[in-house]
Amino acid sequence: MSSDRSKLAFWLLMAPLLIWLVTLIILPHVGMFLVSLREKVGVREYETSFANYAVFFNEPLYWNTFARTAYMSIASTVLTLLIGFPIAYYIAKLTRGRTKTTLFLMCLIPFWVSELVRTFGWMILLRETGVISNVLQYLGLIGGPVEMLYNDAAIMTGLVYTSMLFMVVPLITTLDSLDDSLIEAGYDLGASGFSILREIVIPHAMPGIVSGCIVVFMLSLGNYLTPILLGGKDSLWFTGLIYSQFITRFNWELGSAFGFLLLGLSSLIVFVGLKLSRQSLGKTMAQ
Amino acid sequence: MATVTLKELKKSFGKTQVIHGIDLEVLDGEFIVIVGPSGCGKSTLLRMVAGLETVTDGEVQIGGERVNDSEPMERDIAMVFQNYALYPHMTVFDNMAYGLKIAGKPKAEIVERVHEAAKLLQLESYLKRRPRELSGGQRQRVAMGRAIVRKPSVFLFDEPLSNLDAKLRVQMRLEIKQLQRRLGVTSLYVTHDQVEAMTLADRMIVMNAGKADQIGAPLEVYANPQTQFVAGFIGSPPMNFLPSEMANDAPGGAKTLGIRPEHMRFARTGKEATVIYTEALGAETLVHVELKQGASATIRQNAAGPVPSEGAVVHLDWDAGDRLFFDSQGRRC
Ligand SMILES: Nc1ncnc2c1ncn2[C@@H]1O[C@H](COP(=O)(O)OP(=O)(O)OP(=O)(O)O)[C@@H](O)[C@H]1O
Ligand SMILES: [Mg+2]
Repeated sequence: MSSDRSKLAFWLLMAPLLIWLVTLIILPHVGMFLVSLREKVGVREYETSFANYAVFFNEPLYWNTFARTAYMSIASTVLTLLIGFPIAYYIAKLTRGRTKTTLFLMCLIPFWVSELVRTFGWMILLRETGVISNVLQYLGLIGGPVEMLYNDAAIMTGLVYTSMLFMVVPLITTLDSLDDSLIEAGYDLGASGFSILREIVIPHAMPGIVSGCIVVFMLSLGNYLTPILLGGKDSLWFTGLIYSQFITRFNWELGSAFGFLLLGLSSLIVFVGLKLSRQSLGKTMAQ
Repeated sequence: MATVTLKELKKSFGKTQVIHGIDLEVLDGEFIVIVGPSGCGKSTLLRMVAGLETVTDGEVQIGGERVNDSEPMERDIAMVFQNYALYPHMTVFDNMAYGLKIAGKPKAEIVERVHEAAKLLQLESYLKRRPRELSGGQRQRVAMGRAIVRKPSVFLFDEPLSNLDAKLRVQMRLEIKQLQRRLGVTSLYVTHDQVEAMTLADRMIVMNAGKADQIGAPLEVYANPQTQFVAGFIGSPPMNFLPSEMANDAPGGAKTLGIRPEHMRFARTGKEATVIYTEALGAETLVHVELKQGASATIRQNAAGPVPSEGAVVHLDWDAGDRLFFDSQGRRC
């Protein structure tokens, strides 16, 4: 009897989560998958086939964009990690009390404004008539106005900036849990600062590094606003392609196929990343 | 093996000074225990010797050489931390071998030295495990093993037993002492537990608010405390402090009269006191009384003796030779 009751309680408690998962994640994906398998053969006539996927592989622009999105996202993840790690280390280990809270909040401040405003801020800075260009001209370092928008560096800057918090927070959490005495014991045992970083700090921070990287990578891969606004028309970001298939061309079939490919790609890269770093998803998420 | 010398050692964190000038000569192979209440600066003192904390003023010498500005690794010391500071992602073997690997020792030598230390500490069957798969006492041993394999000239211990339960603490205390005897390595050992200090130390430093109140052999410190603080800190239950007027031959300037609980006894005549409560501990009984003058005291009595009931009026007596007098500054007089 009591086990029946506890089972019922379990399902009732799980219900909101399950409903959410089913209606908002699984159903749309099943629907999208079905749509992606439809090939338009005439007006309101469809056949089931992988033709939409074939379109993707036969058109270099599509899979070039696809590959570019992947490696740009990986690059932005690595860059975010390289910049975020020292910041997180500094906040977690070298400051305490008020300073720590203040610095932590300063990392949060950019996220009080919407992504649109944040990206727009970068545009104000980087465009031809923007702040940086003007200052450089004023200082006489450059002759005429320079355009710093609409290139890969601008996209990268925007991506790193947008996702920094999602790297720094898990890193601070794991580094905070690293006992100072472990580092001191390292020095006591004769290790140099570099070997302590490599053999003690990084292995300890690994779960944080991996979960930060997964989140940042997913966010970059799925980011639409930043690459389009900072990269311009030719940003060639895969989400841009999906958007134009769905909205501009009303080609839901191809758009769905693209969406599925993106899902597959992100899962694959995360999987490979986890294997390479010898971490398990369970371990990372338990952190 | 080496001597350790501290000369007028001082430490400030910002404007607050926490160590107020400590002088100490540690002989080669000596076991020195630094004991004192929480926050008196024991850890800070030890960490200055270890090189983990900078020296504000004064000098630290190891083996006769000034090491104020040397890196921890250059000091030929090995520290055992309170929480053991073992690396969770390394096996017991790797933890113990880490220092040797860093030092670039040949593999065969590392294996030999780790196994030698593991044997000494009865850790041989645990070498492949990770720290979290060990009990507290075993972790403690690994931490010691990591220090031993490096064959340092000085061991530094910062409350190494405080995370263990009472029984294990007694056992590990014994093991540490035997190990240190066998290896003959100069050791500095920090604890706030005065029993640990009494049992381990060749000599102990009783610290009080950043100063060394007394340095001496445990029994000497116990029998002959130089300050009221030391008298009250060393010994359990602590020394009874009574107003010096209770002795009619108190020396000039004396404010407090100190008598150890075991030196007080019940008598037919003497100071009148009321029994507040009694604690029978098996071998002995502690009787807590309140004297007429308002002071309270504890009498430690053999369990075979008569135990007065609570609320009874008793008379206390003691030998004149067992009395200690302290002035208003807490110094002996
Ligand atoms: N990094 C620091 N910055 C500022 N003050 C400190 C620092 N480390 C220690 N202190 C202060 O120095 C004093 C002595 O600290 P220490 O850790 O040496 O005490 P302790 O005797 O080891 O105490 P415990 O038995 O609790 O470990 C304390 O008052 C402490 O607040
Ligand atoms: Mg301490």
